[in-house]
Amino acid sequence: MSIKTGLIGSYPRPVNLAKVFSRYNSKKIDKEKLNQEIRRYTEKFFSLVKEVNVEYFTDGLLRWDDLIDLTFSYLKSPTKDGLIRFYDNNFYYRRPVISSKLEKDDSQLLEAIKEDLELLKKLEIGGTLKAVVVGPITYATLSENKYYNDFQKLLEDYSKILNEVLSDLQSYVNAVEIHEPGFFDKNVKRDLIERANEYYEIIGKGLKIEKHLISYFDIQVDRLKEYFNLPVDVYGVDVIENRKKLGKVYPFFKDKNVYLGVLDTRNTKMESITTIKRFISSSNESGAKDIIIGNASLMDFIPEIVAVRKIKLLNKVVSKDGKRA
Amino acid sequence: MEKELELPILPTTVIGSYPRPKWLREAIRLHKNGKISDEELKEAFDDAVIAVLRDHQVAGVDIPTDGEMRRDEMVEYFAERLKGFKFYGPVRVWGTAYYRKPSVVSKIEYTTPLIVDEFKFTKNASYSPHIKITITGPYTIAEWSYNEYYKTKQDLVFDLAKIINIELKKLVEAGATFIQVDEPALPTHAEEVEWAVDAINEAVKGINVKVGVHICYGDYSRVLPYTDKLLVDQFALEFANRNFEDLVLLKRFNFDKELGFGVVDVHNRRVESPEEVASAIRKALEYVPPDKLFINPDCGLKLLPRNIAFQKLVNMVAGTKIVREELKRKGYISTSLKPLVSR
Ligand SMILES: [Zn+2]
Repeated sequence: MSIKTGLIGSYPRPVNLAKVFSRYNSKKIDKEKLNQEIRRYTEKFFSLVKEVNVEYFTDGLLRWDDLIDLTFSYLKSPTKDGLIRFYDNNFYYRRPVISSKLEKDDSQLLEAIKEDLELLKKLEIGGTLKAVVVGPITYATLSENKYYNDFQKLLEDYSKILNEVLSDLQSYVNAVEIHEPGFFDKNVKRDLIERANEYYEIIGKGLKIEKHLISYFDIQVDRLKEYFNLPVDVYGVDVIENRKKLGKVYPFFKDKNVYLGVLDTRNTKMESITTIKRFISSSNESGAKDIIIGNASLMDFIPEIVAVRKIKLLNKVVSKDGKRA
Repeated sequence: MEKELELPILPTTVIGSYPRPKWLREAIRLHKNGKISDEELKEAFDDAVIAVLRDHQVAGVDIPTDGEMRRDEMVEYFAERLKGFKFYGPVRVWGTAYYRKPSVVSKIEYTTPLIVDEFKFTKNASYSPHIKITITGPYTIAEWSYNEYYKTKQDLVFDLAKIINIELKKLVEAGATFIQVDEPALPTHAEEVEWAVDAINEAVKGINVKVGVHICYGDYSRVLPYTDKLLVDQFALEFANRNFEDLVLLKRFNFDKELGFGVVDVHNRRVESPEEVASAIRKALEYVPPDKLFINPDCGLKLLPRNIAFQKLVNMVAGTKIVREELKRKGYISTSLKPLVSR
């Protein structure tokens, strides 16, 4: 058993970077200048990762407006529609509209990852960079389907594309986060959950890249069995949001690698180190193999200054514990 | 009193906010940079309110507001004036849009009136004896804040409800005849609506003037089952943005209160024609009797360019007048600001 630290999903887009995006959107600066600024802020984020000694991390997704915006970097056929609430958050994403067969975009995500790797090399950061993609259930249910008569076919096509995307990525990164908050969304029908395994088999076929399944927000306990049966390497649980349900969750940890979302990214209140340690020891007692601790959900929901403070807490948990692997 | 509260049938009103004149935004910026004084900024706000009232008057709106000229944002404004809130920094809502989401760090306390002065100024400056004063509701303030202090969100919401009740009583004392509680967040969590409704009732307790609640862009089927339980006279709802498809919900949930009917879309720059407005109102009349129908835009107009916001109001009033004439022939002449529910 080892305890590692991790960061998932997005880091709050700094206000000054948003100003750069606004200037780009109103055509006052060109794409190259925008990219230069994105690299500058990503580098800042990586410096924080280095300072806190985080072992598994993303690039903070600063390039994309939101998690769903990221999918446009590996899919080229969908278009962007109006703003839609992201689950029960006061945060909005642009809904993809699928009006033709899903097609892979070969370059955008890969280019971003290559840029990240250059920055990491420059900053001499060891750890593991994770690519981020959106899971099939979440994607299919958060987009508007105007093309596929058969919904299953949409999920299959999407899963096949993910397989190809990950296959391209695995020459560059060792791990990928598959964000699947839709798995526990009450509005998602049961039959989709039951078929999830099929999609994840397609996604993982022939791949050696480490797959971290990430979900967040309220858990539906009657879906835990299906969740922990998916063919992935690490299972993510939003511990913060499901405090009262953990008794039902822990039994599924046996012999699994787990990611514990212990930093509340929907509240500015600071977590207590004791509480975090209790989550770790309960997971341990439940027979979890490797444990990674980090933020519970996307960090867009809290101010940057609070996110930094919370991230720094991670290091305190593992160093005092003396169990850093 | 009866006579004073009389209004033409299908009274026209606004939800609350109106675009800030460009010069006001400039004045706010100068104030932020220390280039103009507090007094000078206050004067700019006052002048802006007069300008907004004039726009409303020219458009022919029966029940104006001050356009919420003094409020940057509907939660922030109140959080800044109550004890117990703290601001850490901006939080993103989407793309490049942020707001300052407050954190509750200690017990919420009422130290000074929040919007009584604002109301008094508007009342004095208004061309109409009827004005609407808006206040953000306890549930929405809590839902759009972080809770670091209270054990439960419910505790926070009920404390806020008590404070809002104090403020509402002061507004009534100052002569308010129409209060709108803004609760856009109310439908967010289906399982919380029931106690949130109790909290709103707590906030409006003993307020015996017209009280409305404004809800927008949410799932109304989560709220309409509480139509009777929620002790307000009027529901001001957004319909135009969703092509009036939600009107059927009124029938499904036996809605029998007054309706503030959202007849123009504030998220679309296209200005609806008076004929479109008239036909939407006729549609609404299939669900609500004429004397219980008020006409307003879907939501605050503040995100529109000022000329478009103004033109939308002009056409809203023109469209209303078409239907008003039709109703007059059927004997419907007037309605009233009298409260319908006892609280
Ligand atoms: Zn609204």
